[in-house]
Amino acid sequence: MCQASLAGVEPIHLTESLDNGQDDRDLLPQADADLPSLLESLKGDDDLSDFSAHEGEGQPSLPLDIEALEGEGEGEPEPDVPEWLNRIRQRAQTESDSMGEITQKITAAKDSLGDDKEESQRSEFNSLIKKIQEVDDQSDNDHAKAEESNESGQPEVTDADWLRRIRDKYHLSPDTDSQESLNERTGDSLLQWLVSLEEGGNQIAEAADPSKTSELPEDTHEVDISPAVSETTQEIALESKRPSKQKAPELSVSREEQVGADQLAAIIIDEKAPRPARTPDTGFRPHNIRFLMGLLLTVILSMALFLRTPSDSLRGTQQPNSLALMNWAESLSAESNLLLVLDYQAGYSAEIELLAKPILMTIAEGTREVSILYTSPSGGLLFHRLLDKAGLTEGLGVIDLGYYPMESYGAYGFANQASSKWQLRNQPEFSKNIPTDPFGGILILADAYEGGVTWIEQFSTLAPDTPIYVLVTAQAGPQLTPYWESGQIRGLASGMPDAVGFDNQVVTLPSHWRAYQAGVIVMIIVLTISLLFPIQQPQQHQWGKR
Amino acid sequence: MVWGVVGLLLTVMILSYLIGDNFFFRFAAYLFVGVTAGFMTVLIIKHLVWPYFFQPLISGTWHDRLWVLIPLALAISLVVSQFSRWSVVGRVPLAFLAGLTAAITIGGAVFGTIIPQLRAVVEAFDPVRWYQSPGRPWVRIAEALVMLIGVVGTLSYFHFGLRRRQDSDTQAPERPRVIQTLGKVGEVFIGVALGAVFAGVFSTALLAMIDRIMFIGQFVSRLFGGR
Repeated sequence: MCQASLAGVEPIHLTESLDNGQDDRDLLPQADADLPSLLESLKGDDDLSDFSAHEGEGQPSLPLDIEALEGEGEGEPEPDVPEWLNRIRQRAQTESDSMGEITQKITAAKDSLGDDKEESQRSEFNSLIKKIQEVDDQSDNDHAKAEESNESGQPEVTDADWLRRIRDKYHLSPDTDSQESLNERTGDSLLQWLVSLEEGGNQIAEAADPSKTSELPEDTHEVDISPAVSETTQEIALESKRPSKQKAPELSVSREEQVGADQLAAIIIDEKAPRPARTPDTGFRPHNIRFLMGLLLTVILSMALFLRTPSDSLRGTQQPNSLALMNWAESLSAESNLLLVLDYQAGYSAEIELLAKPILMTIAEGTREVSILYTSPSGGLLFHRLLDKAGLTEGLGVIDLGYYPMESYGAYGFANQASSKWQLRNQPEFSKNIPTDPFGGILILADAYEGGVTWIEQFSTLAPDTPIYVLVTAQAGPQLTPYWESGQIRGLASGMPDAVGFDNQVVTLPSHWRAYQAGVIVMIIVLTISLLFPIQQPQQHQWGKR
Repeated sequence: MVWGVVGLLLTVMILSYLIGDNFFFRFAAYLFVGVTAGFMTVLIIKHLVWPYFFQPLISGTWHDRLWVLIPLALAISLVVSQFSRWSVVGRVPLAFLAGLTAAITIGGAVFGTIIPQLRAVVEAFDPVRWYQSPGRPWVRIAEALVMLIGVVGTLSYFHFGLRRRQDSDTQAPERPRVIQTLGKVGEVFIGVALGAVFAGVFSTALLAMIDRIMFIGQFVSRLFGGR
């Protein structure tokens, strides 16, 4: 429980002055009636009403002392104070104890301090009023400049309402020459502090604005701060903070490096050089050329195929390689073990069929049975179609050895099986599907070089005694001819000329041959024209110009 | 008749690429790819998986079943390797396949192409062959010389070794003049060979086109009562 004495504690009557119905601003002494208009404007400010009220009572203006208000209601009963508190107060006034004496001494000391403070605050207030009057005189001189700057319409950075009212009242503008005005406005009044703070803020805003910063001289080494601001801040000497300019070391450039640098510079300059806009290419495009060529070739081939001429006779010549193939087919006996390897796609079946039909017809005359295997998925179907076209579906027996997806493994397995002197004793039953007897001959039907050469390499290495004959398309013929020259294969037929040489009695061949000749002539003409009058691509055209 | 119409439509769809990439061309191309993939799957199952795997496993002897365990283990390893945790397992069958393919291919190329072709070039200078082969001997000799020049020139063209000049260290090394000259000769042979290959490719494509035009003409002729 607190034993402190409440002697000297006086109740506060805040409501009296507020409830008397009189405007406290009228209590201003007559001597202060000529205060600068700044305070008149403050009268209308609700936030500063208390300030004016206590000013009229001769109380210090700032800071507002609550003890000054305490003195107003001294001695008067307080209706809201409870009974027990009044009893305590009365007892504290009549009785004296140690604590009460101490409290009374403290209260007396506080009262004496309050008197001293009152006097000093009054003197400060008088100096404030005097300085504000001086500032008022100075601001009249700057009024014209402030109006001009206001008319220029430059926005303010931060404008609080109360600050704007002060500025309007004193015709101050943040755009006035801050340096000059602040040099003249010496003092420590609140107004000057606010004005200097505001203008300092404007300066900071200007410094943050890069457009305005660029207007500063480059060699500025120290920040120019107004004296008013410098009262609370220190002058910052940037010269000592900024790093000194170091002289760049000279580059040692060799001749080759200089040449390279010059080339790079030339490239950069060339890249930046203006060039005429790219005009749309109005000439032939590859798409149009392709369409025209296709149309031309189709028309000519159709005419060669379907327009009948009086003489449809055809006489071809057989080359040694194709002649050797035909001779081998004619020499096969009924017991010959013949293997046909089918390695061509359906798209090339027309050419293969032209070549293979006369050969198969010849083989069927002597042999009753052939074994086939195929390394293309549709090989089996294509062979049966070939037999159908040759009319050999009944006359020739076919042993289907199946599909071998990888020709290298299949060729190696067959060649190794055919040439191996020893067999696995316990090899699985299913591997016995591969014939172990050496073949009397192998006929390879291929549409590409890779398919044919795999079988040639494996069989010529592992089973050199097995004769190999090759029947391929025209695109693989030139690449397989060296194997014929080296004797690795015994016969070779490729392309339309060899097909014509095999048999000129086939009905469809004359029209095929005529169309083939027409197509070759067309392509020779087109190639010659394209060599003489090359059509440049748009991109190549631009590059050539450069 | 129905399949003739289908064939005609697919042919026209493919030929429509002449006017540019279009829906019909893509449709026909996708159709071919899809049909080929499906057909190949059935073919592999019928010709490989069933007779060489399932049939021995089901109805074969114990000896056959033991043989099947080898491809079975390799196949399972490949399947399991698709999971990242067991990807290491797939290295065994892949290494087996890569090694086997390399051995077969390199062995075939060396013993089936390089050595026989070199021997053929050397034998072309055999005087016995000049006089025993049909034709005039000087033609054989000329053929052998041209063949030798072509082989040396082509090999020189693909010789990329450089020699630094002894008289100057600053100049870039270059190919010997002899190699350069023979390389120029080799360019001619390479050009002729590539020209022959191009002519063959064009000839094959031309025959395929003739076959398609012939098919369309005959189908239309049959459609309208012709022969």
